[in-house]
Amino acid sequence: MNLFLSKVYAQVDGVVSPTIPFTPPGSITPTTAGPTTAVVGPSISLTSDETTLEVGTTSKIQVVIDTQLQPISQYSIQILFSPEFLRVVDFDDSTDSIEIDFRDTFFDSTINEVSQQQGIITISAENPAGSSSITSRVVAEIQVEALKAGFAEVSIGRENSNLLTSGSADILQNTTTVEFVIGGGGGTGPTIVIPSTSINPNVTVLPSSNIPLPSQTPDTAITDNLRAPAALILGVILISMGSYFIKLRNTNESKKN
Amino acid sequence: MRVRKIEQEKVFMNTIIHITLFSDKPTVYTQQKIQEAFTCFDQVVKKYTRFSPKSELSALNNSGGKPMKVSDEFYYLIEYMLELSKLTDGNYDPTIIDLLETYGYGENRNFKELDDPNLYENIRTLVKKRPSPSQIKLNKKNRTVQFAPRQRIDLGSIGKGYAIDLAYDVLEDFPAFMINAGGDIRVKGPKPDGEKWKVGLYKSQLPNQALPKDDYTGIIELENGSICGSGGWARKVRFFHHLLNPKTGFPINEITQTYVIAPKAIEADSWATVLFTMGKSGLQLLRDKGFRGIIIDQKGEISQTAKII
Repeated sequence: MNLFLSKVYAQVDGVVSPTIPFTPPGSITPTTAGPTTAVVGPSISLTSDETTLEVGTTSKIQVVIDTQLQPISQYSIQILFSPEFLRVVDFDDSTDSIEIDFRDTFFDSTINEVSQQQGIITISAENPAGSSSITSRVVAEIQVEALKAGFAEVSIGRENSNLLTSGSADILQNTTTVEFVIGGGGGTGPTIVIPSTSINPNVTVLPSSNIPLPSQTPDTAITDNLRAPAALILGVILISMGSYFIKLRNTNESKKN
Repeated sequence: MRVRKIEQEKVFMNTIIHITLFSDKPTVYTQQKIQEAFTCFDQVVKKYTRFSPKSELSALNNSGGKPMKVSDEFYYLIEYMLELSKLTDGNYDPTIIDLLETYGYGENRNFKELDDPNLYENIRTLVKKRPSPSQIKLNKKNRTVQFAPRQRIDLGSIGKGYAIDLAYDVLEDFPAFMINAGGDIRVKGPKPDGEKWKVGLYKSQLPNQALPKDDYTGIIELENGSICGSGGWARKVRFFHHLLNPKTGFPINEITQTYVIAPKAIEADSWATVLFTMGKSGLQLLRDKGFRGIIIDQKGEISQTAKII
């Protein structure tokens, strides 16, 4: 069945589906740059503009839920970060506890906690009005500060995260991870987002509503990549040197004779 | 230069914008254009979100019934929506923010209003006394817009389509591409191999049931055009969704989804809403415009302007 579905999905270039108004309640221009890897199935994704940080600088990470149009009534997300390298910037200074920016407009936040020491962020929310589906929505934003040079990862703790239907079935299938390189020179590049598939026996892999499957992007043009012309130049040099040495050897042998 | 296929996506407007493009131009130029196309979505939100007091739309909504000069672009968008409202005899109403907020569809994220025992009467009362879109006064020469007292406007029904069109203009010198803004789509050309773009229609769903995902309702072949959809179940909370009948103030439940195919995304986007609010009577209007449309009702029955699927 799944094979059949994949085949059907592969036949189309895109999927049109009813969308919501472009400014749903509470959403004030959450934007995320950088290519992301498409995931299939209900997912919790992390995305960020930067992949390279300097010590003392900050970056924002968006937490995106896509239930693939399946209604859920509550969700819990555990986000793990490297406390040695990153610190979460408190979104609300007026409270004693550390919180992140909860942005979901259809669900009420029930837990919003950050443990700087353990490197754990926990958010939970429920929709008291009933179940609702979520389509590619930014539900929270985390601001992190780089503390120390090195590699830092921010990931979803799959075992403690879920997207629950009103019947308490967990439909979460995919999560993604964000990696940062801290220190080591300036400049930013595309975010590294690693999709990780977690097998949930209660759900079936289904085609995405509006996220096309990953496709290959051919990168064959010589000018696309510096390595190609560099290899060509190196080849020309090596051939020239070879010819020169052969000619030199022949000349020497002629002189000997 | 050989034609290369490039795909990129970014999150804007709380959804994923996916661009598939066939380029016969240098990589750097291509990438610059794609990034420029993405920024169109950001610009539209910044200018026209009703949730930022700094947006031009918010300034107009706070104009307190006095004439206000707006930008040429904003004027064009308002004029477009009001013409559509007139053409549809008020079935399309870009000023229903007041109704939506009465249900709790506001900036605060709770829907406590849905439990209000007076909600039904509150809606009925509001529908009787609220100003009509026809009361909005436009002055083309001075580019001014004047609302009736307490009247406000929202670009929710055209914003995404308009942003797609802006992005389309940025990419227009590429031979073929598809812009997919979370399910609203516009394409240029057939693909370089001569094939049309294939767009799957998400299958219909009965109200309050999970979306069946076992198949598509149909697959449409598209060339130089746009297809957009409208449906309440994408964000339905109990009995409420955002597609209201402006004349009753209540969510429309007879229809589950509509799709419209038109040359521009702003047209497909707005007419998908029109078709949802008007139902089958909107099909003739679509034919008159030369657009194509599909209605799927709560029983799963399909009505079309002509045979599409």
